[in-house]
Amino acid sequence: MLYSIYEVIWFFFIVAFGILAIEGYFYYHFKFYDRKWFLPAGAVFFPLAASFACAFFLDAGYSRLPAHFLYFFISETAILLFFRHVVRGRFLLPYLLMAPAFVGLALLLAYPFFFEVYLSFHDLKLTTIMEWKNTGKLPFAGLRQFVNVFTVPPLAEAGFWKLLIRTLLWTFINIFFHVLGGFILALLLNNKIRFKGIYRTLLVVPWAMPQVVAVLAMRGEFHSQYGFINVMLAKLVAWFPFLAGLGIGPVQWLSDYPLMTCTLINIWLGIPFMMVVILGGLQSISSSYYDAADIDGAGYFQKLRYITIPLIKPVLMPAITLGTVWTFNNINVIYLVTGQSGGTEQADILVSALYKAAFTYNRYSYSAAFAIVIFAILLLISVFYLRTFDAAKSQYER
Amino acid sequence: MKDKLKMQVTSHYRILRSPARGGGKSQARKKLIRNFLIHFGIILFSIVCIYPLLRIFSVSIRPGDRVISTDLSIIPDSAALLSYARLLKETHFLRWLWNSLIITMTTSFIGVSLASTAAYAFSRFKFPGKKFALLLLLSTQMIPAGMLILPLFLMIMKLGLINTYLGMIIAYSVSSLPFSIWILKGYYDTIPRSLEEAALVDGTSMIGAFYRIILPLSTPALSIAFLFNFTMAWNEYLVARVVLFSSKQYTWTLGLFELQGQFITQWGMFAAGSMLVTIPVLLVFLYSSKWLISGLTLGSVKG
Amino acid sequence: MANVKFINVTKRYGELVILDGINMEIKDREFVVIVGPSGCGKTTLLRMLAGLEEISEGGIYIDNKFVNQVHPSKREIAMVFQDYALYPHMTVAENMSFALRLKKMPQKEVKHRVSEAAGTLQLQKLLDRMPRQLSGGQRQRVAIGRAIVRKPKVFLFDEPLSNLDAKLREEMRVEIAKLHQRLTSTVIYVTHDQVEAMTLAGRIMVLNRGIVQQIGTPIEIYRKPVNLFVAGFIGSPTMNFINGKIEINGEDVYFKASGTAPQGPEQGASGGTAALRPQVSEAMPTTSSSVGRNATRPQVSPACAEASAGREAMPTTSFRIQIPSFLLPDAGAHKNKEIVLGIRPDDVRVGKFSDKNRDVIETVLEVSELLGHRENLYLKAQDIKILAIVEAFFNQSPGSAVPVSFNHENMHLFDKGNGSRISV
Repeated sequence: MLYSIYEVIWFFFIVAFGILAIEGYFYYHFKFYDRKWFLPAGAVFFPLAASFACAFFLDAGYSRLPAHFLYFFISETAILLFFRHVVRGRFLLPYLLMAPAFVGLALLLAYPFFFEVYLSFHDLKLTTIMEWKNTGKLPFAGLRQFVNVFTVPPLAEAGFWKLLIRTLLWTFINIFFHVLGGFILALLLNNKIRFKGIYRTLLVVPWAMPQVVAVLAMRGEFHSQYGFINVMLAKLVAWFPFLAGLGIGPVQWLSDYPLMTCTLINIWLGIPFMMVVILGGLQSISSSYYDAADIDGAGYFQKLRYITIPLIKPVLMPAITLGTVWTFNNINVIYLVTGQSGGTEQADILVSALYKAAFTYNRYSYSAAFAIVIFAILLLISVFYLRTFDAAKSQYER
Repeated sequence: MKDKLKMQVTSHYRILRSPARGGGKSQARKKLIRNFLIHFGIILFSIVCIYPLLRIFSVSIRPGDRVISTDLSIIPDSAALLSYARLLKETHFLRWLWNSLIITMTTSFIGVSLASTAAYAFSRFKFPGKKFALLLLLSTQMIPAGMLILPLFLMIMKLGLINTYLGMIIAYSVSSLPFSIWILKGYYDTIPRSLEEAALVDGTSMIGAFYRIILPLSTPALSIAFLFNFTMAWNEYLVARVVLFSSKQYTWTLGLFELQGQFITQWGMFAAGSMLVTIPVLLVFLYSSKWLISGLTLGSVKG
Repeated sequence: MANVKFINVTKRYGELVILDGINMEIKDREFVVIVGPSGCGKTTLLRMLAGLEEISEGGIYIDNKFVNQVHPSKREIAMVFQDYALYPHMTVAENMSFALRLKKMPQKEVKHRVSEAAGTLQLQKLLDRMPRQLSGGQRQRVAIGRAIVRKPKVFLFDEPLSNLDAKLREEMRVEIAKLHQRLTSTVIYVTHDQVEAMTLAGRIMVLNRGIVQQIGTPIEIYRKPVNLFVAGFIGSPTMNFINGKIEINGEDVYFKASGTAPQGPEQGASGGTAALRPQVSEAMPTTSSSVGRNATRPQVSPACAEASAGREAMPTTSFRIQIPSFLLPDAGAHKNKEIVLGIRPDDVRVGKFSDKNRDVIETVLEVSELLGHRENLYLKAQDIKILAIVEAFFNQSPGSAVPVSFNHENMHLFDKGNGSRISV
């Protein structure tokens, strides 16, 4: 049974400040905290005493004793560690500087995260939500939700594995074209040309535009009747009738090829970011390398291969890692293109399936387990990325 | 500091420069052709990049009866501002903008101020748990977007903040924090420590040195962090969709989405609204784009 | 205005000892230069004095006040940093007045002090500029100006000239010397450049691997270096070192050469001899101010010993030089010991001399470098390398035979084992 965060905080504060006052006294007058035995002894003795005291004086009953002991133990250990490392240490200032950010992260990121972990081991869905609201109790499900993730499809048609493959494909294709497009544009922009500032400005427009507007506008361009692409295709066929014989003609983008549409839109959206990052990397390469390569007789592509690419790798790798995570987690494009009621599910990737499972089908616990599986996959991918990145980095730092 | 950034930004452009060979005349011609190709390529890409925006603009100034058409021209015949007028009159658009602005500004301010001190701790101090905390920050990026919505919603509901600014602000305030900390740390790392030491000798405290020396010097990085927080909150709609339910409290994303999502999409009004929200963001973005490049590379290289 | 005392100052990072028991007393108005190779701990010592670095052990006193726990700004010091550390977002005037404004000094007084300092350093025209609009030399002056306006008890300079080009460096060196004369305050100046040390210092502290090698006036350190490290570090070009042994023939004492010793601080730093504490023994009358413990250390690193053994194995037909008895009164004590003879290039005399000088060494000219007013001769006696400095022009081509002799009074003898000086 997990308390809501406010109960936990309230409890923690009351207990912690009580103990803090007593222990602060001990600390300042006897310097107990310098003794080695004090940390383990204090962490066991004080909670034991406090939980028995609770049982005696507050009539809490002995059945709650282990639970109380656990809470006291946690708070006591926290206090002892606090004294040992923060108050006494030389690290008070950095901890104080970090405290607001990390308290915020703990409350608004960590707590929801662990709440989801809790949900994933229970069964919260539309039929149990009222019961949960009234009694605060949820049926325990063990690992069943995790088994369900792999066996029960989250959506009407696609199961987990199909979604996973689709997601990996989506991520790979997107990142590939982001990097390729970004690289080409950065190379083009990195010349001494006129209107460079204007070009750069125009080229970051897809990134700068609010994503909702950008995606919906692009979606409009894929409209089967009025979208730019189909209008152009229709005109082409009108001008060159033989094209129709080759099977070229207006396409029902949104209903027939939703994933392809989403991919095209997302590529369009993502190139500017990569371009900006790569451009920054290119500009930080000293020109003397190119001069040296000129003297050595390297051609344009040789310079690209042996100088440019290796030298922007340290800039590129973190950007690719982040880009992969963001693309993998990208719910906006797919949801905005296909997410309205009655929209297709053919384009759904893992995260959008997760969102739909939770908020369209109201299978909360199932989606929590689903989310944790996704989190694990992403963690694996980025650990792999960072490994290769570290390897690449150490290669240059020698 | 600025010098350093400038140096990074002022480019050298030798990447495509080929070694001198051949006679002067043919080389000049070659250069001409090359320049033409480069311009051609960039212009092509630029058109692809801005065409949808132009299209929205074009739709927004079409007269009501011809909003939907296969006409591809940007400035239509008999252009009119009817859609804008309808948007402002028939919907709560200004109110939506105002809601978005308040929520966005507050969250950005909170996010940047939290990140600025935390990043300083990461950049300048050694303390137990530093590496772990940095990894923790990184791993928050792996959390799927849909995952936190339900618990956040429950939390906001328990606090009784559904359909309020405060609820939205609470939900948004830390979401860009890890990334902001990362960027700011990268920037602080490039500021020489001797500046703070000089300030210490001159009579400030450690915190004083931070406020008087480091913060003013980090304006570019702070603006980038602010921009990231701003765009995140300005464009967000998944959480907003859950937390806000009355039309008056909507942010503009929800409002526009609603216009677009009805049975007959109000294309004219949608386009007009899109233009109105896009232009300011675009201007801010473009203004800071010169910092953006250096900030991003710093953040990612040094991270 | 103030004296500074280091008492057994030690700095450790875990196991790593950066500074090992530094003791020194700096008198009021003294100009002390701390010199040593990079990584010797000299900057750490200065930063500890400034309060920017924690002191692991020992104490620092400024004006007889114990300052270990005192905040940097309360120590009444001013520091000029290696990279100047000018606040980039403040004008020159704001940079200079920052500390005074923090102290809430009245506006008028601040203005007066800034203009006064600007006058001394010729900065009047630059007061409204930003640091990035200044040249290196101007930045340097602003950094010094920022220190002056505070009227501190002690000035600390941390390699202030190392970022300047050679010509400017010379100019600023003179400026700093002038400034010291005018300000009459205590100055502690850290550098790795022995020329700066020699020209500026009232006293020099030579530091290596966190250990004080020698403290003394420039001339003491130049004339009587207490060990091989100091001998190699101070003086340009570097002193010649020749390995050998003492031979006694009746009343006469001879030095028998057997090879070139590892030269200079570089080899010393990697070899190990240089890291040794200076030996303060009866045989070696040191200058009154030298400080050093008599602690004995492991004598020589294996690598160094091996290297010298290898060199000795080579067959050499070596030369012999008589050592005047005033140079080595107790020669018998050093018999059969590995000895290093040091002789500065200026003390190598080139050419035939009168019969009285018996110790002519036959050498072969390898390379000669013309420096304008003088010439560096790289000579070789069998496989012993000797550098000599002569007046320009020495008209001999490489390969020709050159007889040289050493100036007896200025020969230095060192014990090779622990590197310490044995000659008077």
